[in-house]
Amino acid sequence: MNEFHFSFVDLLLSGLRLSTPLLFAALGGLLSERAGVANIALEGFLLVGAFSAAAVTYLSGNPWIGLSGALAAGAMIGLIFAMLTVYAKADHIVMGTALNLFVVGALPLFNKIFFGVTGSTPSLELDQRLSVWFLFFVAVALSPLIWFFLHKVPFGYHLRSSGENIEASKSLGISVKRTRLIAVILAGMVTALGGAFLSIAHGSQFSRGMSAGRGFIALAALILAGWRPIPVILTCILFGLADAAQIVLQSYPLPDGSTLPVQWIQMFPYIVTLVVLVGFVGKTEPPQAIAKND
Amino acid sequence: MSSLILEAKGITKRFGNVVANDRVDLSIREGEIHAIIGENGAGKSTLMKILYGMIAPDEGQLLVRGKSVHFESPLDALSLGIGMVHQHFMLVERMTVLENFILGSEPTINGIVDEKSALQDLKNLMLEAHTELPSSSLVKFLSVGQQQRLEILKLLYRKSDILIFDEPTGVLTPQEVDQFLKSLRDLKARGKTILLITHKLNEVMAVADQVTVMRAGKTVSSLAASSTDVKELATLLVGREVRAFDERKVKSVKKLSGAPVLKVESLSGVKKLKSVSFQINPGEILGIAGIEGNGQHELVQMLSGVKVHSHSQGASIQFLNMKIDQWNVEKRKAAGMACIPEDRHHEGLILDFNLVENFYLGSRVHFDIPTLLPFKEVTALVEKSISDFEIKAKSPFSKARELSGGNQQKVIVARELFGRPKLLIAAQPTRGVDIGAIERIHDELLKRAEEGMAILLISSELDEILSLSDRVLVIRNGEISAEFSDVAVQGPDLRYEIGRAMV
Repeated sequence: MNEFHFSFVDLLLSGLRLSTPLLFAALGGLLSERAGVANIALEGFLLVGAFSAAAVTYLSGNPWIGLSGALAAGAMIGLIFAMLTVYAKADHIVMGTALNLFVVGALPLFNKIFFGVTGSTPSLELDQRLSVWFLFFVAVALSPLIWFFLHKVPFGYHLRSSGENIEASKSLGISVKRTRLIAVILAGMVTALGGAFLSIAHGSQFSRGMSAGRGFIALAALILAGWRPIPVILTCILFGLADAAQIVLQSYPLPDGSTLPVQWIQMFPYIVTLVVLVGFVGKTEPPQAIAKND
Repeated sequence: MSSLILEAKGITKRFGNVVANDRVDLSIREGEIHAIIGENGAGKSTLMKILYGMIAPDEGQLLVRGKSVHFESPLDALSLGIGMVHQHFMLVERMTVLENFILGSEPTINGIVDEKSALQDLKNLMLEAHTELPSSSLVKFLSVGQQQRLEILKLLYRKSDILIFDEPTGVLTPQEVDQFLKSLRDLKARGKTILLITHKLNEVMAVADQVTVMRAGKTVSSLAASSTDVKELATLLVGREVRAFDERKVKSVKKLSGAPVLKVESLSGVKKLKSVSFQINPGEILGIAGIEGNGQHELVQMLSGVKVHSHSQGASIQFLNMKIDQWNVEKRKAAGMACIPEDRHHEGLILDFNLVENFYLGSRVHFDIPTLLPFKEVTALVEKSISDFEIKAKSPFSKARELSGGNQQKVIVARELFGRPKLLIAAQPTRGVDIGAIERIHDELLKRAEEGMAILLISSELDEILSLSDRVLVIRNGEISAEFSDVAVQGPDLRYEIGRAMV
């Protein structure tokens, strides 16, 4: 009983921690999609953030500089994505897929250039890492901040109207393209913080594929929350808990003493995602002008 | 005489080979209501877009208050006090009334939107305009009339004093139209100049001071409203004499006999329809009036067989005494049903197919072997339709896309009538069609009804319903909210009663 109690709190805390990268990515996705740019490139944004944070932290020895590096790299990848979708008018989904594939291929190359290997960045010392709880609270605090930004600042008005009605926005002199460009750059920066969480707070290095589909899970959390910045905290925690449960369950035997294959347990968060998407897609309303080009 | 506030001189605009505006001249006096009328494709919209800075003319000059201007974007026009209420409202549905009111021109304090002063401005303007809108409600919850009033408030907030209205009454109920025309007079009394683009000649006569008529990209005439009448305007519009849109041709009550062609009982749809029941007799034209989106679309889908209804209690569709509930479109067509769908581009035609292919696709059940294209036969039929309906097409092998809206619609009408159907479902049969083509389509429907074909006419144009129907049902929230018979004799008197049943 005692042991169960302990593991329950453990599970909860672990779930909250693991919801952090999801929340950053979901908020990034929110900024991008509320402005009308469908964003399945969150996965790539996360990886870029993770790599740049770890690389810069290792090279500078200072995680704060690393975090700034992640923000800069996130802005860069956001800029690239925005140029392709908003200005070159490429299909958002195709471009998102392409960008994800590009990132998966490009990062090992950069890794090789800087560190001589393709697999991962060198490990960081404990004092070179940031606190997971610090980043968790940053993510949670960012949600109401983004709500305020969307509803109380002129640019937030323009961001929402660009994602809802292109013609109406233009008729009022709002530059939909410029608004979307800025929104996607911000999305890249916010999402990159989630990547930094993975490599310099929760982990101690960047390794290939370390985002493990979290960009897509964040997208599911965003849909489930109806693209709203406050409910998205809760939906990200839900998926964070699913991720934590998967880890905790691996160390528990079944009642008869046998164990489930690890692979089955690892599927858990993705099955939750699938169930949620099947059940909720179409039930919440996306921005009306999402994926439409100006 | 007041001074000229807005002038266009020799405006020419070409799109590829098409000359949309051909040396157009326009003079608007300050403080007048100036109507611009013309058929679809006459160049009205292009001219308005030029006046509003959305597109730039190839040649010609614009003068605002005597000064030559050059617009780069709508913002330039807005800054000179020119504002436009578009046919499709420029509102963000999922933002509030207040947010839409200030969008793009938000007042701020230290970078934060000053909602207080915005709300005060909104309230003041609402008071001046004698209107009331819920400021914190999302725009999608407003009625069409309310949305239009919000659009006007937006322009007033931006200090526009030349207001352009593009087909403003198309989507309003008769009551809302009256209110709208009254608000135009109010705006005029407050010194605003109004440009009214419309094809509704009665409204022009009701409010306008001056009328400019456009035809084929040119301004053919500009005259004082007091010195003209609907008949003259219609003639100028088309270039020949026509029957006015709301003038009724058949004025007697028909004697109907025979078993009902269609009998619908307790029809309920997935979302919209709630227990709809009615029947149509041979030779009868039954009009379904109502504001769009109240279940008309679902009704057409279920009657034509595009959607087959689930087994709801007691619902049935009987066509010529056959229960056809579960029949597919093909079977219904073969049995003698035909349908003019409401959206000709998405449901009526395949735009990149030629006329022969389009004709065949919609009528293949009437051929002996409905899987092989009887090429010569169909080509001959299309040629005959082209001459019968005066369809302007280069050849039967022109792509549907190359035809104007009116001519596309005539192709659909010819096709649907080809199999001598017993019942025609005509949904918005003349939407976006010019007056000449409307007259032709209406005449054909009346002739077929005379010969015994039953017609279910679904239209959001009350004029059309009143000028054709023998009987009218009003649909509201998926229910039949009222029924009017003997429309032929009561005619125009029913307008307001029907309007009341719509809301």
